[in-house]
Amino acid sequence: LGVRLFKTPELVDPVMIACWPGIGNVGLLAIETLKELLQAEEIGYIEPRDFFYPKKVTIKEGEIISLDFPSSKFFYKRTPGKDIIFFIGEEQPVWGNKAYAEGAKAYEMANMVIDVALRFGCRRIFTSGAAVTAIHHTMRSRVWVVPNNRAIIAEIKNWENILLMSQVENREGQGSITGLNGLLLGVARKRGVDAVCVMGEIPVYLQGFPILYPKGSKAVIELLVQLLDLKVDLSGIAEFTVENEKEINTLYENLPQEAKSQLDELRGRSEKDGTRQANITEDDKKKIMEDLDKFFANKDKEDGES
Amino acid sequence: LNETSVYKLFGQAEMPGSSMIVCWHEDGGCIGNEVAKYLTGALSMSIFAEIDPAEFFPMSGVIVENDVAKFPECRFYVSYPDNLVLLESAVPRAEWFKFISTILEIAEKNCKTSRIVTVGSMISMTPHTIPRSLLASMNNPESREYLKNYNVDLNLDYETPAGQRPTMSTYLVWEALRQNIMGISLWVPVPFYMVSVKDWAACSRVIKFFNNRFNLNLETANLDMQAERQNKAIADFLERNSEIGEIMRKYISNTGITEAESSKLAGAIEEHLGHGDCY
Repeated sequence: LGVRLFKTPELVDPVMIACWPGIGNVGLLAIETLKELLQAEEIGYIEPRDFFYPKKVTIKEGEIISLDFPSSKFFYKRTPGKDIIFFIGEEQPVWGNKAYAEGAKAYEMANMVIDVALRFGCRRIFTSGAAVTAIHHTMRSRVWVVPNNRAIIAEIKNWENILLMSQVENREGQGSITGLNGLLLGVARKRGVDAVCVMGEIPVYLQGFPILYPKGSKAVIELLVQLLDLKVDLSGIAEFTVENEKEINTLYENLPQEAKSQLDELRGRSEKDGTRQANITEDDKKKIMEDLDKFFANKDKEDGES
Repeated sequence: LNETSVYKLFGQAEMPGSSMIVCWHEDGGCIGNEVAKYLTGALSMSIFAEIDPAEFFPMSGVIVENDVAKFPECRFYVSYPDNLVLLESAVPRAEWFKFISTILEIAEKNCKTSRIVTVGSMISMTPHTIPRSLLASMNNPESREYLKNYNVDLNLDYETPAGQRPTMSTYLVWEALRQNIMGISLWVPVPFYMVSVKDWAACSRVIKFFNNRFNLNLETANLDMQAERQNKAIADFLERNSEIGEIMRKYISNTGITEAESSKLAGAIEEHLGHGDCY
């Protein structure tokens, strides 16, 4: 069990872009989309049985035909701008019913990914996730950026449409990145590799819903395209973003008036103070989430009974 | 236990060609629990090995259920005269592959087992008044021959639905093939409103299969009596409780019941028959 590479292409000063699922799958959608747009080629995988429970069985006429596990795959692409190794994990290796990876298994998987990065000579790794924040869904998402060493900060400050943690309202440079998208930064640091987590913003009121938020993903893609000098057509993700906003607007229009008013106020406040970052209190956030939970609980009940 | 082993042996159990029955706790209808209890008692099986739970379960305290503190147990029993091994175990919460590898190591190295048969239930929409059927899934086509004369449905077609996961039984049977061990998962349908209680008819169906297939010469009349008593208890309850009785009548006549009625029916049956305590 371990890493299986069935191809080891010669790459020139490559970067690695790694991602596992997280909130709203903002990061995963971004990296999957980029990988697809670049038509990156699969070169290997991490053997799943040590990390995952099977996800699907197929039985035909009594015989078990297949047992599928969540995948953890490596891809590569040579580009005129930069050679890239992608790593995409379909799930995080979790202990019991927890949502995100932690503990020895997470650490082991992070080290396997770094092993591959080092094998190909990657000197920088990007991970991606979501930044849950008090923005309105009609606004452009920005990208929160967390490096694993201070030396990269000067460079990051020149990137467009980004925020360091110290630039986020009320954060004062503090925060946390849950699961492997965060842990990989730490393990990379331990092993002497620069790593940066890029997180697309997602509105606080959409974080728990089972819908994608492509606007956050698009912001991440735009940043990586710029940094790695990639030539890709982003019209697909742009169209998806427009359609998704329409869907969210429909949902929004059906919200109870009280919840809607609070969210409208969120938009108003964030537009007014110019920072795009609404300075709402924890109580405001809690109230919005409670109202929305109540709304969706009632909606599910109605749907179930109809 | 030594540093590398997660299991402890209490004796030698080289039983070439033996069969291993695997029963899981907390199975719907208490099938795994009751089948294990019945077979280990009726065959006077003795404990042969035990898997240490520390790596596979959160050692963060105990859950108290029906007044009793629960603790995960994973024990192997043997019956030498019947050439039979039985594993009764809680379903691990982590390190599933290591857990399965441990079972297979004990099966292959210590017991010389040639086939593994797991026991499990599936939630069914058929009422309790219909005799329980038995379905099988298997890890190779040869198992079909092994089961063909035992009134088992061998034509199961199934794909894990979205949002669900394969069972531990399926995982074990799949991995058994790597060790060249024949693997069979038996499935008995349990009416949805009996998932939390002991379904005696379903238990009886499974035990009778093992009795016939392994020539165990067990007296099974008491199992039929238990099932009959349970059916009568349900009938009496439905007679006395007109609202639940009406729901059951609608259900049996297939005129359709709502989600709210389903959950009322399941709750009432559980309350009347008592929670199965499938531990």
